[in-house]
Amino acid sequence: MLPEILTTLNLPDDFWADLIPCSVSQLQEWRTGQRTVPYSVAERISKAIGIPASSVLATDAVTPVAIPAVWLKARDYELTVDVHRAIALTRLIASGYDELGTLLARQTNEYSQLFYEIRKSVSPSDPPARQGERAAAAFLSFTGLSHGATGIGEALRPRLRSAGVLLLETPIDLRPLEGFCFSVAPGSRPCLIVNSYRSTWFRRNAVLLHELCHAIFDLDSAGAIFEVGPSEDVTSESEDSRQSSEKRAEAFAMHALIPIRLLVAFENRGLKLQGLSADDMARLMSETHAERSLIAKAAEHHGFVDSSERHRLERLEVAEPLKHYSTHARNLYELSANQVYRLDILETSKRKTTFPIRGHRLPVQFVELVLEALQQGKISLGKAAELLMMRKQDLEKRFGLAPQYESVSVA
Amino acid sequence: MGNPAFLLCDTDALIQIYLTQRSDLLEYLRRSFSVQPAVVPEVEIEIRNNGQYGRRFEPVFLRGMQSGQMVVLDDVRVCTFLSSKGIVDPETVFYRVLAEGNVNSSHVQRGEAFSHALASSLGLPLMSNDGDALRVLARLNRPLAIPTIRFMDLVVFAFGQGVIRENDCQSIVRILRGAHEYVPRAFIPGVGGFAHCSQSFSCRLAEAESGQQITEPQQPHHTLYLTIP
Repeated sequence: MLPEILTTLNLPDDFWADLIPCSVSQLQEWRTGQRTVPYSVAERISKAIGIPASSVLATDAVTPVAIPAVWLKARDYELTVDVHRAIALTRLIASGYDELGTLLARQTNEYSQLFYEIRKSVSPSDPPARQGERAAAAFLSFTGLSHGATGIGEALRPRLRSAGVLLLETPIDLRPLEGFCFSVAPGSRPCLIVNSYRSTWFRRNAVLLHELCHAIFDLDSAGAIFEVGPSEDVTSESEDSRQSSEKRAEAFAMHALIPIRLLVAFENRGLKLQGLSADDMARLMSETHAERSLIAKAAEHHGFVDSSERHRLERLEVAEPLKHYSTHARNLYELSANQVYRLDILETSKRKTTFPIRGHRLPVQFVELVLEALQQGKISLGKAAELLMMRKQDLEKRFGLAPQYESVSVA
Repeated sequence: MGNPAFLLCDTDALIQIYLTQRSDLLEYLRRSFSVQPAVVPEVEIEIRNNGQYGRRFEPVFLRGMQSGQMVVLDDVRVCTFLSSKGIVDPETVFYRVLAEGNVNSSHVQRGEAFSHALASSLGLPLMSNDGDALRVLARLNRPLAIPTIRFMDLVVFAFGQGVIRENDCQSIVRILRGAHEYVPRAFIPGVGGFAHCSQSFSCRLAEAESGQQITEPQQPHHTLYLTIP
């Protein structure tokens, strides 16, 4: 069924050749039925696309192939090949996580219980915005993130990853697409992808929480959700239902990132939101880990400011003062050496894939898991390179690993 | 004990053959000892589109396939081979090989994973330089190809057979070192030429002398003895 699958997804040959990876001429041999598709290729396609390997190998054209929703939606939205690459990359990382989890005896699906508890805390009869607010409170409480007078931006990512959520922040050349989420299989590990192309860390915190809310409430029924803005939304989903889930997700992101206690704590220090200066807005952003417009929205929602003041707050010039208050507003090269946790991270390319899918950034934890499995002798250097989607030589060079070749005496 | 029908080649060893343009050594094995060089489909994929060398070796690989110098041991060929050995249900054996390869591929690259799985199941030798993969699989008690020879075993064997000259051998070492490819320690330049170095190299490929009592290799590093048919 490989030819049918390739036709249905309508992606260029280069995409498939990069993904498998194989030469385009070999792909043609499989497409035309000149050669049999090897089992391992079917497995690879299965991991990246989510179609069972048996369907890829099947020669019976009568059996319909169930293409996962994420691909069909990506096709219907006419998203770029880079988005499709990000989906495939995420699926491969998810599969890599599962493999490593088995090898290192470290599997977690804590997200399943967490999501269930959050859903349970919400009344379906409440308006969507109220649902989002209650869900945010439950999320902060269940994850232990509901304390302190600072934002959750820094603790959020490790907390979600430790719960088994796959979170990827990587540049995708489609600016209107802020993020998307899907699950590898129905009911399985949720994958949240946030587009880091020309976006700030503060904005991405909100996008991440927005996608998390979709993962909690909407993923089981929708299979995949893309944030491409209403103008580009061409799906046949019920508009009402979509708007409800969007409202819920927006409220969730706002209340999770800027609970009222953060604004109260700010005002209790004598700094008033009404008439806030650009410098103080920058300080508030550094404390809440939220972007300016979301802070302004929350301030209005909680009655600290009126709508005209909200619009003024949204337009404050904070770029320069923010660099003073938050390291997250600086680029890597604007940081001093003592502000970097690990100096080797200064070389950002260390986490970027080189082959077969170039230029995407891998989660630190995933890289660390691979290196741990390598250190424990559970995987070979070549396998580590395969999991990190880079050439063996690049892996050796980047991580200072000596080639492990000689003395093959295995007596 | 007769010669093996096939010598499986792993990606890294085959790349060294192509880099040094010594496909004639594979041809020598085929013509003189009736040992057919072969690869598993996963190695074919890695050769035709290599992470390091791109598609540089695709034409030479395809030429080798066309001339019969190289064969791909796909499902059909493996089942035919098994049937010729009197195996009644070759498909079952083949699916077992795939399952073994799949397990191996959680630990090593796909080419090595399926090469070791097929070689160990069919009792075939493998030419592979990846000692790291071999060590990982051995530590996990996975079945290994016995024996597992390196490209330099083939070079030293051919040198001993008078198929290639010392200058050619030195050129091979030079090319491999220039390309930052693996070369066994014995051949790292020191005193003496290739002939001298090869004396301290434990070669895993040899021709059985007439009347010689040959023990079957039991470990990956044991010697494979070939006889002229």
